[in-house]
Order: sequence, then C-alpha cells, then structure tokens
Amino acid sequence: MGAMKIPGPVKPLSSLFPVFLCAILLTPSAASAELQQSQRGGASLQASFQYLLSDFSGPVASQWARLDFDPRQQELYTLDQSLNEIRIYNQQGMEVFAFGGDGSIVAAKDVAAGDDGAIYLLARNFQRDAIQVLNFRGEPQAVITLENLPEKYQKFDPDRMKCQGGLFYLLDSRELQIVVLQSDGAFRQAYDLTADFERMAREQDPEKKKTLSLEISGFSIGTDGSIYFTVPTLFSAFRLKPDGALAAFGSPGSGPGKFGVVSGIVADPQGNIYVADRLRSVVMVFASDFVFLGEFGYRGDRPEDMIVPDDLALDPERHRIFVAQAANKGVGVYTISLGR
Amino acid sequence: MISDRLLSRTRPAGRPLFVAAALVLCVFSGHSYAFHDGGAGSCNACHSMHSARSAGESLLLSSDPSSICLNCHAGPGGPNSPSVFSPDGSALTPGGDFYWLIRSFSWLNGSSPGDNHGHNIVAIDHNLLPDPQLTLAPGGTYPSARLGCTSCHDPHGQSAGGTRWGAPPVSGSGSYGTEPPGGAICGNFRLLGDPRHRPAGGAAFVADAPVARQSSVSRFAESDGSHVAYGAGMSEWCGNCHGAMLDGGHRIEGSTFTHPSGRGALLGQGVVDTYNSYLRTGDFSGSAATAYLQFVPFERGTTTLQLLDPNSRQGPDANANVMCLTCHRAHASAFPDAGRWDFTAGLLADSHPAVGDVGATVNDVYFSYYGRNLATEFGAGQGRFCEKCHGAATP
Ligand code: HEC
Ligand code: HEC
Ligand code: HEC
Ligand code: HEC
Ligand code: HEC
Ligand code: HEC
Repeated sequence: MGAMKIPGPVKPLSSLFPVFLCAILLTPSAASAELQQSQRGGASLQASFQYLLSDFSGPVASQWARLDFDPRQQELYTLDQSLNEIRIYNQQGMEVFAFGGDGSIVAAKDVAAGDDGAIYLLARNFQRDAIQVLNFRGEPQAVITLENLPEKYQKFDPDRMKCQGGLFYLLDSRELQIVVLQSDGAFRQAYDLTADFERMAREQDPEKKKTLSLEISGFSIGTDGSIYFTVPTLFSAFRLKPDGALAAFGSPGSGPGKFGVVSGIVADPQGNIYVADRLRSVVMVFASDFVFLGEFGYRGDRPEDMIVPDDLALDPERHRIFVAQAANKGVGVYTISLGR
Repeated sequence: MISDRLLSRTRPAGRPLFVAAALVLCVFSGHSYAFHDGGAGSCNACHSMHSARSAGESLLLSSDPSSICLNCHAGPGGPNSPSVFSPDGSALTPGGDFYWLIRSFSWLNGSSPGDNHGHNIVAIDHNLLPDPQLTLAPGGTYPSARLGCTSCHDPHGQSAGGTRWGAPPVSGSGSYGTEPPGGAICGNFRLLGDPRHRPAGGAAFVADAPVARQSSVSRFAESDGSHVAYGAGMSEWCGNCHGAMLDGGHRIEGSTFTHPSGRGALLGQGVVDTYNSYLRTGDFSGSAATAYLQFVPFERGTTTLQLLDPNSRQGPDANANVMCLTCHRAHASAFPDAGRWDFTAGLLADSHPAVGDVGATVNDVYFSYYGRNLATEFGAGQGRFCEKCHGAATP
C-alpha cells in the first residue's frame, strides 16, 4: 500500500490575509436569509437547505447521530447513541418508524441498511453481541460473528460499520484497522493503516518523537468500493482504493477548503468528496482529484445553518446530503448541484 | 443559542486584532500529531478566523471554550481515547466522564440528580449547562456560570506563563514522566493551570500545578495496576477555587462531615497499616506490595517524577497524604459529589445507579465502578471505602 501526500489546491491564501482580516472586523452581524456558501473559480456548487428530519411534532432532536442512507427504499436511518434508538425517515424527511429506545435492541455503535432490506447493528460489546441482523420492523433475526481474523487483528474492536455491494466494512478507529467481511461474516480482506499514518506523521514532524495519537473520525464507502475516512489531528482526509492505493488531501486553516476539525466524509458516484468540519461548521466539496470545489454551511442558529456537523450520508439519486449535528439540533438535509 | 450571540455581540474591539495577528504568525508553522503535546497544538484546530460573523471573543468558533475541546474530547471511551464525554459512560478515565452530569437516577425513596455528579461545565454545543444549585465554587468564589475545561486546563498548555514570561518552550506532555529535550521543558500534568493561569471569570491561580504521573501505555485508563501515581499538590491545586475547603476546612452546609486533606494531612502509621492490610470489610490479610486500590488513591508525598510509578500496586508509606482525589473525581462520577464511590450508601452493594433505578441503563451500573462488580469482588457486605484507611469503624 503506498502512501502519497497530494497537496490540496494551491490557492495563495496568504496574500489575501489582510483582506480577510478587514472582512472580519467590518462585516456586520446581520444574518442573511440565505444559506452561506462559497465556491472556487471554475466550479459551480449550488447547495440549498431543505429541512431538518422531522416527525409530526417537528424537527427530531439528536446529538451527533450516526447516519446511513438506503438507496433502494430511499430511506434514511439514524442511530441516536445516547438513547440507543433507531429512527427511519422517508423521502420527505418524515419519520416513518422508530425502535430501540425502550431497550429492545442491544447497545449499538453504528447502524447500516443492507442491500437486502435488513437492518444491521454494530454492537457496543462486539465480543459478545457482534453484528445484529434485524428485520425491517427492528426485530432481531440473527447474529453475524467475525471469524478467522488474521493474527495482526486480534485487538480489532470495530466502532463503525458500512454495508456496500454485499460486503461489510468494519472500522476500528483507534487501532486504525479496517476489516471487510462477506455478507455471511466470512473474512475477506483487512487493512492496517498504522504504518502509513506513522510515516505521514513523521513527514509532517520529522525531528520530534511523540506518542502517536491518531484516530479516524469520518468513514464511508464509495460506490466503487473505495474507502473514505478523515483523521482530524492530521488535518487530512483519505481515499483508499480497492487496489490498496492510499491518497491523502487537505491542509489546516480556517479559509474555504481548509481543515479545522474534520469529521464526516462521503463520496458520490462520480467520486466527488464531501467533508464535514466540526470547528468550521461547514461541508466542503472536493472533486475526485481533490481539487476544492466549494463549501456550504455557516455556524449559526437558523435551521439552514450548521452546528458542529459530524456524520454525513448521501442520496445519490436525488442529490441530497444529510448532515448530523450537535447541540441537539438533529439532522439537516441539503440538496446540491455541482458543475465544473 | 443565546451564548453564541452573546459571544459575537460582545466582542471587545481591540482584542480580535491581536489574536488574529498571533494566528497569522502560526498558520504556516508545522503541527504536531499528538495534538497538544504538552503545549499548544495547531491553532487551527481551535481558532478560526474567516467566519467573522459567528466567531466571537478570541476568534473561537463555538458557543463557548468547552465546546471547542469537546469537538475532539467527546466520543466513546477507551484506554487510549482522550474522550471525557462519552455517549454511554464508557470514558473510564482517572478524571471521570462528564456523561454522568446528564444522567439522573431515582428509586423508591431516593434520587441522585445529574447536576450533583460533578463539575457542571458549560458546553452548549453538547447540551451541558451550569449547575442550577451551586452558583459559586464551595469554599471559593469561582462562578459556576463560567466553569469549563479552560477554567482548569490551560488551552495553550503553558507552563510558567510560556516563553512570553521567559520560561523555556514546552516540548512534551507533562503527564507521563518523560524527560524533556535539552533547553525545553515538559508541560504541566494534564495541561492544568498554574500560577500564571487566569481563567476567564476568575482570579489568577495561586497554587502550582500538581505533580503526578500517568502510564504512557494506557494513557486514559485507570486500574489497580495502571493508574495515575499522584505525587503532591493536588488538594492545593483544587484550592485555587475551593480554598476554604483545604486542610481541616472541608465543611458543608447541613452536613457534619469534615476531613483533612493536602500536604499536611499525612496518613500516619496507623492509617498506613490499615490501608496496607485491608482487603475488604472484615478482611485485613492483605500486604503492602499489592495494597493499592484505584478507588482510594493517595499522594506519595514527593515532587520527584522518577519516584512515581504508575504501575505500582504498592500501598502508602509514612510520607503519603490524603488529597481531594482520595474521595472525589476531578471531572465527574456516577455518584453524588463526584464521589469515587457512593458516599450515601452504607454498603456499597446498595450504591446507585442500581439495576431497576429509573433513568439507569445496564451500562450505567456496569461503568459506575469502572467495570468492576463490587458485589462479586468485595462481597455483598462491603462497607464504604473510608474503611480502606479507617478500618471497620469510620471515626
Ligand atoms: C486546544 C485548543 C486551542 C489551541 C490549539 C489554541 N488555542 Fe488559543 N485559545 C483557546 C481558547 C479556548 C481560548 C479562550 C480561553 C478562554 O476564554 O477561556 C484561547 C485564547 C487565545 C488568545 C486570547 C488571549 C488568551 O491567551 O486568552 C490568543 C491570542 C490565542 N488563543 C492564540 C492562539 C495561538 C497563536 C495558537 C497556536 C499556537 C492557539 N491559540 C492555539 C484554545 C486554543
Ligand atoms: C483537534 C482535536 C483536539 C482539540 C480541539 C482538543 N484536544 Fe485535547 N487532546 C486531543 C488528543 C488527540 C489528545 C491525546 C494526545 C495528546 O495528549 O496530545 C488530547 C489530550 C488532552 C489532554 C491530556 C494531555 C496530556 O498530555 O496529558 C488534556 C488535558 C486535553 N487534551 C485538554 C483539552 C482542552 C482543555 C481542550 C480545549 C481547550 C482540548 N483538549 C482540545 C485532541 C484535541
Ligand atoms: C475542575 C477542574 C477541571 C475541569 C473543569 C476539567 N478538567 Fe480535565 N482534568 C482535571 C484534572 C485535575 C485532571 C487529572 C485527573 C486525575 O489524574 O485524576 C484532568 C484530566 C483530564 C484529562 C486526562 C484524562 C482524565 O480524565 O484523567 C483530559 C483529556 C481532560 N482532563 C480534558 C478535559 C476537558 C476536555 C474538559 C472540558 C470538557 C475538562 N477536562 C474539564 C481538571 C478539570
Ligand atoms: C476553576 C475552579 C475550580 C477548580 C480548580 C476546582 N473546582 Fe470544584 N467546583 C468549582 C465550581 C464553580 C463548583 C460548583 C459548580 C458545580 O458543582 O459544577 C465546584 C464544585 C465541586 C464539587 C461539587 C460537585 C457537585 O456537583 O456537587 C466537588 C466535589 C468539587 N468541586 C471538587 C473539586 C476537586 C476535587 C477539585 C480538584 C481536583 C476541584 N473541585 C477543582 C470550581 C472549581
Ligand atoms: C475523605 C474523603 C474526602 C476528601 C479527602 C475530600 N472530600 Fe469533599 N466530600 C466528601 C464527602 C463524603 C462529601 C459529601 C458530604 C456530605 O454531603 O455530607 C464531600 C463533598 C464535597 C463538596 C460538595 C460541597 C457542597 O456544598 O455540595 C465539595 C465542593 C468538596 N467535597 C470538595 C472537596 C475538596 C476541594 C477536597 C480537597 C481539598 C475534598 N473535597 C476532599 C469526601 C471527601
Ligand atoms: C486515604 C486514607 C483515608 C480515607 C480513604 C479516609 N480517611 Fe478519614 N482520615 C484520614 C486521615 C489520615 C485522617 C487524620 C488522622 C486521623 O484522624 O487518623 C482522617 C481523619 C478523619 C476524621 C477525623 C476528622 C477531623 O477533622 O478530625 C474523620 C471523621 C474521618 N477521617 C472520616 C472519614 C470518612 C467518613 C471517610 C470516607 C468518606 C474517610 N475518612 C476516608 C485518612 C483517610
């Protein structure tokens, strides 16, 4: 597996600094009614806010919910980790079903919609409860356990799970390991990213020897089987192609396209990449060659604004992006159109 | 969010320029991947300059300083996870999990409200609000409305005021007993504020940062065999805000409980012998080499880091003293008054949260004593952990 640092788009932001400073000091606090967005020359990004996921009494509160979109049913799944509750929303963003809040399911870290209509839960106690298979009503049907893991993966304790193309992708965000399973749980492939990250960290900080403290934040799988993830303390996002090629992009900063504390990441079928930033409270969009195309979002109180965005999910057909947020704000839904 | 607006509307005119200038200097400097590394991590992880309208004081892009910290310090816990605010109580760190502040338990004839479980830090983005009961620090004047991570921790990890005050540069964590490279120093233990620290809303600290050392292998975990080895100065440090509770001054309105703690509160030979032989209620057959109990830590009475061993199970000797963290957790716990155990239970098997309490999950019960099942390990007749020092009968 080769690690290669591809620098982000080289826009000479430095020369613009005095301008930005003036802008900070002169911009009035008046809120405009439009969604704040910016785009890079040559690209066109149109993002518009639709709604917050709701039930009949209004927007549903949640804190950093885990998201998964089921393209077959056009439904969005959310897992509220503190209530251990799964909610399912239809095309209009209205809740159609909820379960688990009463203790009927095992404590879960992540949820994934299967291609087969089943709902998969990644158990908090993975050793004991593994992957739980539920039917569409949330009733437990079976358990998939992980067997025949290579020696190197003995400490593997996943906290994220995605289901794509009939495969399970499990991530242990602290051991920096990814394991791919067949739908019956049979081991298929595994990646250990420790060495790559260590190398990258050394490159960034050659003379100092420090305790490695890296953690993966966002995690998703593209339609071609590429694995996308972010590492906030490296100020970087990554794409791991099915052939094992690993590429990184991003650089720290607070201007458009720069990384503060990056979190959720998803890619559309064309390979465009969406990256959420908790600190900057925006979602950035990059082309498949990592060129920054634009961003949308603004930290504020209005429904269309964002507060500490985290997990993302994408509806490729209707070009919708789901943004899980903090401050109990719930999940915002935006539509996007991209041109170049 | 009221606070968000407040921050942006009350921005003092002169300050942002200064901050912005400071940030411009550092934007292009390198960043470290252990993040704080005992000092200031990359500015961009906490400060943002381009979203002018909502970035408030100090160009911090959030409702309050603690919300910034929780961008990285909230999440599931683990032995090497820096999370101190989990969604389920799994952050079993020495300081404790702020999760307990949002968990209230009640049962037939009692209750244990979340506000009472520890330091109610204000972190609006994470739905954490000030303590509704205590408006000031007991024994001091620090206002609860301003209590946050940066009240206690210096966000820039400065030691002795940083280079601005002539101190050598901080080049490593001060938490693991590592030697700094020549010409540099390690930061304070856990980036805790020292006498140059002046937290927003309060007076400058007077006491030094405490001396302690944590295992560099399980950096955010605690057990009998791997734990923070406390050296000296913790109680005095707590006294920065709770000054009147130091030494013999631990008096609480409506309670008869008083207790010495701090440098002068030496255990004395009698207490040392009890600690070293005590295994459980009525069983004094233990030995000094394996006496250490994570629920009843003490300070070894030394400021020499090399003498502190985070993997030692050795009990105390005559130099050891009682400290605030003998009985409390620094952040929060599952129990009233951030107790390391449930002070209100005569027998620890009667601690709350318990199975069947309103508001308590199975995980809550499991995590309350850091994954240890006291009833099976110590027996159903186990009394309060005060006994570890005082024997069967507490004075
Ligand atoms: C871990 C988060 C964090 C990092 C990293 C960080 N800061 Fe800060 N900074 C803060 C917080 C929080 C405050 C506000 C303190 C408060 O109000 O309690 C602050 C305040 C400031 C201030 C206002 C004056 C003061 O000391 O309170 C300046 C100037 C500043 N930071 C500069 C920097 C620079 C330059 C860097 C990079 C070298 C940096 N900061 C890195 C969190 C951070
Ligand atoms: C960009 C992510 C990030 C942000 C923001 C952040 N931290 Fe951290 N923090 C970490 C990581 C990663 C570690 C573990 C590695 C290390 O010790 O540097 C850590 C460790 C710590 C430690 C233990 C350090 C030691 O050496 O013992 C303390 C204390 C701490 N953070 C406090 C804070 C406070 C207070 C803030 C807010 C002002 C904050 N952090 C903001 C990522 C972050
Ligand atoms: C009242 C003071 C206080 C406040 C408020 C506080 N801390 Fe701490 N923190 C401490 C002390 C003291 C320790 C060392 C505890 C020990 O070793 O027993 C500590 C330890 C830590 C550690 C190391 C792991 C652990 O729990 O032992 C981290 C990380 C940390 N704090 C982060 C934070 C963050 C983030 C916040 C705000 C969300 C915060 N702290 C608020 C006093 C405080
Ligand atoms: C920066 C100031 C500050 C420091 C330092 C500080 N505290 Fe506090 N403490 C407060 C404030 C303010 C309150 C009251 C608000 C609250 O309970 O959250 C408080 C409350 C408490 C409580 C009661 C909690 C409850 O909910 O009933 C305990 C116990 C406590 N502190 C112990 C400690 C210990 C032990 C230390 C040292 C490790 C310490 N404090 C350091 C400010 C501080
Ligand atoms: C020997 C154990 C022990 C030690 C040591 C200890 N405490 Fe306490 N603390 C308690 C107990 C028990 C309570 C509850 C007393 C009650 O409510 O009757 C308590 C309560 C408190 C409260 C709650 C006050 C209120 O008004 O609700 C604070 C604050 C506090 N302690 C701070 C400290 C500080 C600061 C230190 C160190 C200087 C310290 N404690 C040392 C056992 C201890
Ligand atoms: C780490 C050991 C230790 C623990 C744990 C401990 N104590 Fe003490 N206690 C001492 C020491 C040392 C003294 C002072 C010397 C003496 O009286 O033996 C003391 C003194 C006392 C006194 C006399 C107080 C005075 O002001 O004269 C009382 C009462 C007391 N302890 C009660 C308790 C209670 C209740 C608990 C549990 C909540 C407790 N202790 C936990 C070590 C401890």
